[in-house]
Amino acid sequence: MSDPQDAPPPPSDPYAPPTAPTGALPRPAVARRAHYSLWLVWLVPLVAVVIGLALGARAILERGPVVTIFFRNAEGIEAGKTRIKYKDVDIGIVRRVRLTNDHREVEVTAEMRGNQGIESLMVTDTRFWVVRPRVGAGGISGLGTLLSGVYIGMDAGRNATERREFQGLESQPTVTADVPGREFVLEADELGSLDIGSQIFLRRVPVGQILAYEMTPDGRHVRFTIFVAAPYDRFVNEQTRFWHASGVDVDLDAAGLHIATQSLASLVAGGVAFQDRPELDSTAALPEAPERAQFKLFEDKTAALRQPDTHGFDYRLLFASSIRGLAVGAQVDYRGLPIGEVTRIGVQGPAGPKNPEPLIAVDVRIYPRRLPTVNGVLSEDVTAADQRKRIDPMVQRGFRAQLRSGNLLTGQLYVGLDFFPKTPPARIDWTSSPPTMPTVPGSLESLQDSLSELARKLDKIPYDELVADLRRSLAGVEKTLNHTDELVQHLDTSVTPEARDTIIEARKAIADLRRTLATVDQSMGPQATATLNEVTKASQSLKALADYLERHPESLLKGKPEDPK
Amino acid sequence: MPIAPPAADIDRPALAAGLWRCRGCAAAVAPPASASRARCPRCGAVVTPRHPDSIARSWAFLLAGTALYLPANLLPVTTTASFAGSQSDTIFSGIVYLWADGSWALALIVFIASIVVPVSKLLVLSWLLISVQRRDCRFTMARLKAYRVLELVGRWSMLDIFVVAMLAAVVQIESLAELRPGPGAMAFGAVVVLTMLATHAFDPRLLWDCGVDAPDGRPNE
Repeated sequence: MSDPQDAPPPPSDPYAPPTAPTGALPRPAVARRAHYSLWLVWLVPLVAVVIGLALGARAILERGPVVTIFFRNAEGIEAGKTRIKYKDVDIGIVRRVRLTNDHREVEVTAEMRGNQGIESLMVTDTRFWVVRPRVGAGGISGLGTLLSGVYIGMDAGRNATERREFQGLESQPTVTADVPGREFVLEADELGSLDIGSQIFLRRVPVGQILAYEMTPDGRHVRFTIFVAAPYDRFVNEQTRFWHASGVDVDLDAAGLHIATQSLASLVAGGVAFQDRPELDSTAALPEAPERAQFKLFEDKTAALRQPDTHGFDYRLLFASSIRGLAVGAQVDYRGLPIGEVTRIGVQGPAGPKNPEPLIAVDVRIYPRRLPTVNGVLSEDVTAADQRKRIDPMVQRGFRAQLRSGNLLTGQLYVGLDFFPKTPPARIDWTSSPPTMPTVPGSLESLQDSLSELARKLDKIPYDELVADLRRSLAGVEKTLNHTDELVQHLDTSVTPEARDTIIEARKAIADLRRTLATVDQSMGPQATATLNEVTKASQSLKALADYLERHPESLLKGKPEDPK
Repeated sequence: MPIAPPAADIDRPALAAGLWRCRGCAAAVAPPASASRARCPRCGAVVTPRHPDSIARSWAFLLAGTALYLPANLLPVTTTASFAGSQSDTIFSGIVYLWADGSWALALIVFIASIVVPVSKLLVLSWLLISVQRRDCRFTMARLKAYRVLELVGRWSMLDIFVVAMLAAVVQIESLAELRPGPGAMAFGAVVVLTMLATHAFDPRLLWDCGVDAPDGRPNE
């Protein structure tokens, strides 16, 4: 309806005297009162109050628990703006940022929303951290906060005890509680290159991370809390071995140089690998390890995947030679197969009248079960008696321990077990503790022996006399040579000119002779020839005479007898 | 304003002379003295001496408006969600934001339209109603002028609601920016509508009934 107030009522003059007779005006018919209840109108404020109360109640109910978080600094946190997010869902807002009373930390008061049961998330192991853009070895995170500003991330804990005051983390936790998986505890001797966030590998697949590490109370080990995400956590059973897979493992041992790495990321950040022992292929039925089961973290894969060191037998080896290059932990092998290790190196007893030359005692522990068997039957030496029964006949056949050089370059030694059939018979001394196993000199050792033998023989040669003789002879030779030299010089100076003259004379004489002969030849040739013929005949006669005289020397005295007639 | 006749007469309501006025065609009628309702002989509309239950209705709407005024100001009017995060604003925080941003004129407009006007409406209407109920004859003209202003500006308080409604329709860029009206906006719109209804239910003629025993019978209900 339009405003009826402004227009004066047209049919009659409103300013007419109040006493104006009403008869002049139209007389309306009297209307019946409508069925109209005034109380209906009061429903309006009632509804409004109800709505208002509902809205107010909702606003109050949405106001969830107020929590206080302490941070080391408040970089990027703004009151009234910075959000608290859980799984990226906005669950609260920072209401106040102020310094703590001791000015050491920042106290951030945040108000949570109340309509999602957030109270039950504010428990003792709930964690808060500030999400900022972050660039790490694992990648880049929190890029969204470059535009929106930082927010406070939250990871709800699993405890039941509620809490309202929290210590904020300085960095984002790598694994949040809502990721399915299991935590385990590893114990290692050293931290190595591991750190919080280092990855866990199973067959080089990253399957988890290191959550935390701490020193054990006695300060002798480092204890890691690791997280293996589902579904890989079910591969962790009681027989699983964990080892350091940090960076590059450069390993120089008796077997040579090994370089091994897991992944590029582990090069930078370090890592831990785990695996079942390979010989346990049929052990799929092994029970999964429970949450927070404890494992040993081995130094490397070889150590980790070694046969379990059960049923070890101790033996003592006595060596009379130097064991330089042998260290505790050095391998003991049987024809190249590792079977044990050196546990202790020492001297056998104090030196004394009874023990004038103490031997080097090397204690070894042998795990017969380490020997891989191709036919699948593991040695079943369980007790020392079993072992004795097995090893005594072997020793009789020449089973001996020997120090061998593992690596000529580094001079490392290891203990080799082998059969030496030609050695003098020996027995294991079961009376000592540990039993003493007979040894043979090492290969290098025997080489040294023969070398020294050779040296000893060489020593016996009278080098001094030999040298003196030699020197004397050499002096004589030198003298002779000097004389010869002088003689030659003398010849050179005195004899040579005369000789030359003589030769010239001789040449002249020869020429003369030749001329003379030619003359003779020409003048006396024929006569000479006749003469010569005569001479030849004469000489023949002489020869015949000589022959005759030879046969009949008596004819010189008696004369030639008459020819028998 | 017509030239005023003697004051003593002009302040006397027509009702006292037994005259009613048809709301439909503005005909002045003179019903029988005993009747409380009549039918207009000209247009057939129901004629009553004053708006029936004017004060009670007005009070009802006024109280409803007051009840919703608190949530309207305390709850967020808009929720702006963008990739940079979401933000809820109440009316007052919006004004503060505009003021801090340097848009003083805009802040002032919003302040007047969204805070001054509704509050003054509530207060002025309460004043009118109380004074009518107490048959207070002072400041009659001032009250009348206040009432006229009240009627005039009432609808302008919807400015906020219009802005929010338009923005909510326009700013709907998926996942980039989104503006949603909050619960405060509904409450605020309800406040504006309720105060308008309260103003409408109020019969300004009651302002002159102070001195007389209204034949209406129940002005004080």
